[in-house]
Amino acid sequence: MPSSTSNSDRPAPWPAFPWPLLLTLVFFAASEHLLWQWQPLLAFCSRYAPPYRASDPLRTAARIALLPPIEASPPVLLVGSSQILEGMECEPFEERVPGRTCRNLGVSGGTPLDVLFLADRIDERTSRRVLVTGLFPQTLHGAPKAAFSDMATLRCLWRTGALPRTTANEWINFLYGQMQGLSETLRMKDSLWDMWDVVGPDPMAALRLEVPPQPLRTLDSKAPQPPVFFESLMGIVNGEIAPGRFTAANEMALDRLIEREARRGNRIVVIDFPTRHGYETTITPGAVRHHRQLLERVAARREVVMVRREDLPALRDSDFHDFTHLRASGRHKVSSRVAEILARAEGGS
Amino acid sequence: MLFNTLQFWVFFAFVLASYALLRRRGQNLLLLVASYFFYACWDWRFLGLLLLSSTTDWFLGNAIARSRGTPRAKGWVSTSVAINLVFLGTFKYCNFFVASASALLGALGQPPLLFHLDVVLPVGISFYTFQSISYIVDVYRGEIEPAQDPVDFALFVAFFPHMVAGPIMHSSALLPQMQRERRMCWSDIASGFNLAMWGLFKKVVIADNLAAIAAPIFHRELSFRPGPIHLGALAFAFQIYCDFSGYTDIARGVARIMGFTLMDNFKHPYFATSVTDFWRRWHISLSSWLRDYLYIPLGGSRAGSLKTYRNLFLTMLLGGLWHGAAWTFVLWGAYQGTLLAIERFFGGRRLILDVFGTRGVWGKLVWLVRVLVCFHFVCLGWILFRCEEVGPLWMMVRNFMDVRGWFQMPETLGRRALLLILPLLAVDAVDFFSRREQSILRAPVVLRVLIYFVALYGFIVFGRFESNAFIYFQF
Repeated sequence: MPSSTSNSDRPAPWPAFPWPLLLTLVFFAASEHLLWQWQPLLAFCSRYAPPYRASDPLRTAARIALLPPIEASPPVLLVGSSQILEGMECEPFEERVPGRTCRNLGVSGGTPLDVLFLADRIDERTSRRVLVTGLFPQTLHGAPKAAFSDMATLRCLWRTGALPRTTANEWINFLYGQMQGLSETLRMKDSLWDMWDVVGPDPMAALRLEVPPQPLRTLDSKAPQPPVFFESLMGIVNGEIAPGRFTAANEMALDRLIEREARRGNRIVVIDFPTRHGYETTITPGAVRHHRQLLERVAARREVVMVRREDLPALRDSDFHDFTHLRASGRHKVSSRVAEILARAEGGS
Repeated sequence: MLFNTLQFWVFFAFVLASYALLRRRGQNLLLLVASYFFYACWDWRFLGLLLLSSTTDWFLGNAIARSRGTPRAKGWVSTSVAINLVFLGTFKYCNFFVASASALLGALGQPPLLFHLDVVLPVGISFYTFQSISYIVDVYRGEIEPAQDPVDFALFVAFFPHMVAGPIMHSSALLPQMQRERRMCWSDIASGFNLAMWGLFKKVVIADNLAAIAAPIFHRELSFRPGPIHLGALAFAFQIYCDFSGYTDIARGVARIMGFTLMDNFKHPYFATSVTDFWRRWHISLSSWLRDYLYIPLGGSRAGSLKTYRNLFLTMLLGGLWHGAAWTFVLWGAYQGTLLAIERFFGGRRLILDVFGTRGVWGKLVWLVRVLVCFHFVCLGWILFRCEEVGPLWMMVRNFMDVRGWFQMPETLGRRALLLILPLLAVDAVDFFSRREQSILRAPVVLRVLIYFVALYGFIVFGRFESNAFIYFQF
């Protein structure tokens, strides 16, 4: 039994100014800045960040930071959702637009808001680039992700009236995203743990770059979905894919992206990304309608190089892994065609 | 709303900003509304229960004071205690007793009882019930005057930093703080913030990572050999310590920022040299409550040795049951009661170790041996506490008794556990040997900056922000 219930003794009062706390924050800010600009670390991360959703922030940040800052030959950057990550490849672009570096910066479920965030990050490295992105019904209505949000994201949400209509948990998520703006390590935390699963078994070998690099894509190693998969889903509408609270914010993000690239004289290529036949029966009619209207609106802008489905080579069902993701054969066909269109546009400019 | 979520800190920031602008009465009203909001975030339906309990005890407290010294006062005390225990018994123990009775009837070949109360346990009911009972008894004993203002009393019961998991404050320590003018001062804000951050670190970095090591062992995903069992016990011992003391530190820190003083609940329990010493250092507010409102009223140590052993055993048995409605908690309580009774029996008798004295190298060695032996027995208790069923207990306990298991832990997991435990032990050791709290505040600036810097990165990289509930919230 205790002999006393006395309150604990209070520590002596602090000095008037909390120097230790302030100094810690200064050192922390400095170390964050240095750490996430350290090229060997970023090269290591780019090599070993696995192609999973949680690794998206680290993989994209490392690839952006490793871009050659050559303003004379702007890089070709493939940005967007997993349809871009899985369904576009860089080789045709590097072949047809010689002298250009190409990077695939697709992220799982990447929305125009995410792409706007990435564009801001790319700005820190190079203001001259060619952006290639795809429009896709599934990603036009998504909520912003904490790891891909900054003040520009909040501005889009505020101006489209989405912010007051968000739930408490979404507010907290936005706040968490803003906090990640203060610490890159916080933003990369989940990605770093994902990478640790890769390098953890033998960190020394990984440091010597003896561990094989991670693949860019996940679906390449998976078998395509069997016919029964498509038969069972055809006609069953996923109610979540419908215009909602974040649709207008995503549209605004896309508009801002196009305007900004145009203002800087950068080319932006927008693809009406192909889907397997029957896909439209799995989403709401509202999402289909909205997607078509948005395509028309984007196509009407002169600063955009629009690639319509009819501009792309015919794709067979076997070119798709599922309703929305291309397999290697489809990826090669689409990428080659888009690269050809871009090369023509670049040649003519 | 958990202390280890961003929601709580946003909520606290709003409360604090408003609190700073108000005077005492307004502050109390604000804190009461905030506390009810905090509670409603769990389950608003139980707000009614909290209100009913507070209102009843406020009226009865005043009634007791008016009839102090008359038999009627005793009647009011009994009524209040009975009402509180009925609430607690209904929501916490009803299904346990019915299920146990059904099992017994089944064993006797009789049909089981079909009654089942379909209700979840209101968060914090064990804590605020005990706090209300302490108030009623203290008023009856004349140790405090009853609260005249219902807002002050309702806040005393529902004050959000400590409502759901303590510390269970004596009314004489907390109620006067509700009734007097409070001033926020820089040293309180700084040390409160420091304390809260340390608590948060203990919870999200140490406790939640140790939970990931302990859980598979107690869920029988690893073998029941001595090595894994010892690792499970070690990891859980520090998980529950960091989880609960982390919660307490956040509660105390948050309260201190607002100018309140909540009692310390832990004083380096794993440096205890006996189980009696352990209970002076572990969950101090509960053991004080049990001592003042159960052990002493039962007769304490004043009625002969046998009755003292009985009182110790009963107090700890009920203390075990207070933790949860399960036989494993009853077993844990009985185990603690038995150990305390055995220590009481040997108390005053010379033990072999005593011939080495308490000073010099031998004295230090003896101290270390005592600490390690005590820790071993405490860990055995944690196995009883953590096991969700009685079935596998015997096998676990038997393997834990094989002390070679301490040296046969799974290598990788053991290393990971030690990596989490050692920094905590280092901080605890500094405080323990310097006999001070928050020794870090007295360290040189360079050392403090270094510690804060490492802790900040540790928090970001190793912290688990998945909103894992605190263990004691289930009690």
